[in-house]
Amino acid sequence: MLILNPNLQRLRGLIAASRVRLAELESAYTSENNHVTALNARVFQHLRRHFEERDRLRLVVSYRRTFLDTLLSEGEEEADRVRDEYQQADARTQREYEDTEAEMASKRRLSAEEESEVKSLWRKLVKLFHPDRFADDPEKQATYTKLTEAINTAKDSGDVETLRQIADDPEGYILRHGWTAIDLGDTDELDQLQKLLLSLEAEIIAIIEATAALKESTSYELYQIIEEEPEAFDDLMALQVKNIETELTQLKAEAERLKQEIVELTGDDAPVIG
Amino acid sequence: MQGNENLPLILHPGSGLALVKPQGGRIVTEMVGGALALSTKQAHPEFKVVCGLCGSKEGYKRSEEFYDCKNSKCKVRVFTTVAKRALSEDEIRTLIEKRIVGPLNGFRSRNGKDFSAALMIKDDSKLVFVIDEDSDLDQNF
Repeated sequence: MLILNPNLQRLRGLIAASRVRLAELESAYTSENNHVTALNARVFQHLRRHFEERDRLRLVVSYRRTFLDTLLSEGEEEADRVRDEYQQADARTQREYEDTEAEMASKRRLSAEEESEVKSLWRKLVKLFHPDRFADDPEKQATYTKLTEAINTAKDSGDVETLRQIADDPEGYILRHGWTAIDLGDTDELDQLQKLLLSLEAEIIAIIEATAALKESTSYELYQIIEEEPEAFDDLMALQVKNIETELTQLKAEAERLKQEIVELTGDDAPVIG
Repeated sequence: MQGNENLPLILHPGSGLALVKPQGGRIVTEMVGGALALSTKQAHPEFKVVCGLCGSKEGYKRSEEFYDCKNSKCKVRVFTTVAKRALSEDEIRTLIEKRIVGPLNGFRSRNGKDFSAALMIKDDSKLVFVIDEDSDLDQNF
């Protein structure tokens, strides 16, 4: 005869309800975060050329000023140091744009089919959530940490393929990565289930906070404006380009003026900084 | 890459992982912020402020280039860029309300010389620089 523990039944009911709620919140967050990130990537693609040219010209102007000041106050040797510093700063700026390009390149808005799949994936993914289960075994805990990291990274970058791989076959995903195997099924131990319920509740609060933070961001504000009025995107990009072009004209004139001043002082008409 | 002020870093207590990762860094933050600022200006051409010259509470009408007092009898016009220097919204507000702001750095004269000066709205609604007596700069626009 099977005797069911009423506490166990009650806990399982609460855990199931918490998982449903968590899955809803996670899929809504994944979707909205994807929309915002995809818009950020669009903005970057439109403005990169102008912003990069502006940032590099700002550096040229700034370092030519420093070069002149140093030349007049400390002499040629110290001024040469400014040239080296400029080269490093310029390389940093270039790298910053290349890194952002690499980060933004893969950001695209999920299709309607993918968004609807995300919901079903999260219903499976929340069942893998057992943060306290492996606390006594460092190797298993490491696997669990890597798995949740993979999920979170995929969530933040809208990587549905990785979410799919983990949701459909978490043990296979762990094996393919050579991590220590862990049992992701539910336990019958009362204290473990109690801990799981508490963790699920904490996770629900965390994702609500993450969603609130997303909605407070300027990126989200811009996303809402563009959702309401899609044609505003081109207008805003054109206005930004116009503003940057005005600044570029001023920067180029200033860079040239400083160059002439340096040439007059040094008698060297080789390119000086930039 | 520098941090993104756009999104606070949220810690998920359950998983112990930092989750809401800022994306795009400084560059994207600036681009998005710029677009949003332009959008706000377009959406809200009214600039709520009390005119320090005529006392009108109707506010100012703003465009990309200048802010005009909405009182048709008042002729104050504040340009958003003065002597190659863009004025911030806070600076424009102070100038309109107090009729003076600054001294501010970063102006450039017609002969390419950088200078600092306060900006003032005169009784005849004209805008002038208030600069050191020692300076040889032309005080009018």
